[in-house]
Amino acid sequence: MKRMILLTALASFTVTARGIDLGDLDKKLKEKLGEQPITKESVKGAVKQAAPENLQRVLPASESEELKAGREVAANLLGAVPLVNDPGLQRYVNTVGRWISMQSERPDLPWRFGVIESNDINAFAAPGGYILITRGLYQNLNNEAELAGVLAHEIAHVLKRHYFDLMRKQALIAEGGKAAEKAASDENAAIKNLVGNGAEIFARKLDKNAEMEADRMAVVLAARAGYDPYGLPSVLQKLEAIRSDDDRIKLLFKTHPTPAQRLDALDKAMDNRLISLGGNSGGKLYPLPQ
Amino acid sequence: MKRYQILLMMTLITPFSQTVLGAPVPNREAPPLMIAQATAGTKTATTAKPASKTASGILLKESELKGKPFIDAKTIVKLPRQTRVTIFERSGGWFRIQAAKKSGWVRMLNVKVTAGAQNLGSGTDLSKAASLATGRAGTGNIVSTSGLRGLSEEELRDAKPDYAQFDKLNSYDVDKNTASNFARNNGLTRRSVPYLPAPAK
Repeated sequence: MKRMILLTALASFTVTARGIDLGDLDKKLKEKLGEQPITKESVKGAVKQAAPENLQRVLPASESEELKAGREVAANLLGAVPLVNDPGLQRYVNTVGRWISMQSERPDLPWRFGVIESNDINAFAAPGGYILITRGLYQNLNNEAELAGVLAHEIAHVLKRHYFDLMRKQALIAEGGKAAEKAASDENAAIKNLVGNGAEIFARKLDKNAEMEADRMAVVLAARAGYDPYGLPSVLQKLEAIRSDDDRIKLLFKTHPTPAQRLDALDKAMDNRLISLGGNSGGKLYPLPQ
Repeated sequence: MKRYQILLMMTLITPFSQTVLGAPVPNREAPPLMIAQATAGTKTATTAKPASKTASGILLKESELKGKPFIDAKTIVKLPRQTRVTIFERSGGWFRIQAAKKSGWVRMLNVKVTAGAQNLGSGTDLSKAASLATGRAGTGNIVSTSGLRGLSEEELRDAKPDYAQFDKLNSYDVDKNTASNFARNNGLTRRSVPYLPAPAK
């Protein structure tokens, strides 16, 4: 009975959400749920399976919506952790980041990069191109190629809309058909739905494959920008050496595959494809203020 | 042959404590700290003039020790998996290492860095900050009791948006021309490199 209601609800937003057929998402949900009791988990599992193209049609998905959601999430994160008060440093990070973003398939997003005042070792990619790296991670970098690798990893998350899609999936799970209906009628309500608890999205784990994909793209983006592509692997080797009970790395370890897993995946993907490229370790890193 | 046997024995005798990925490795050698700037590729491998600061690692798989940091460089010897190595510097995807009195270059990703990872570049502060905080200077390990706090889920969840900070972030906009000039001045040349396919499962 419960199942019937849910399927009816799904079917109804097939019609109402912008009047478009949900295609695979609907089918997948039905397939997935066919023989199972309907629980939050089973719906979650089914939504996870949905192809992004289908998700695209249900919830806010335009670039303007992506930018608005990104602005909210970035403002929330900055509400928790402000920018390091050093315009020289911020301009420097923006210059390096902008150069890398220019090697990507979305060079015209409003890319912004910032160093935030936290000892946590982490970096964040808000939808639309707002990328923040912590002081704790920055001070652990040894050269500009490593910075390039870190920024490129976050740039890749934006390019592939990883967090944007995660936000949309969460909104769908939380609100189901209602959210989609609202979304179809009112953009502001849709964004509000998406943003939810704002920066909390960065405490969520992306699909493991999304992290590996961002790593693979990052080494290539860095290489395209003229940097030594091994900057990111070098940072990962450093992260691997940090004890997992160190408070500064807990969030990163909770939300990402282990550095060892990521290095192993990069090793397999890179093989010897980029090893003969060489590359530049870049200029001097702009020093952090005390 | 003999050398192989010795190496093999060493790896058998040496307790390999790192069974859990990412777990801390006690640093027996306590290598001094530092700093070999990564340079892109053309250094020849001379016999290791011991750098004052090194890192340590262990081979994740059998690895060719090369005379130079190039794929087609001559292989000096094949080092077995789990060989312990001293790392002197990184050059692109290569580490200059010493193992069992042989020196040369191995693929960086063949090595698990067990201590002194922060030395494989220049200018890190993290280990210094950590060791100062705990009085364990010079261990080369990043220690956990630094007293420095990370970010918590609660902080993220409870954050209120700060639009003034967002405007500030926005104001640091760098345009494409500025970025291109920066790249030119720093010898960063654009290259055409296709994305990597996902490795087969």
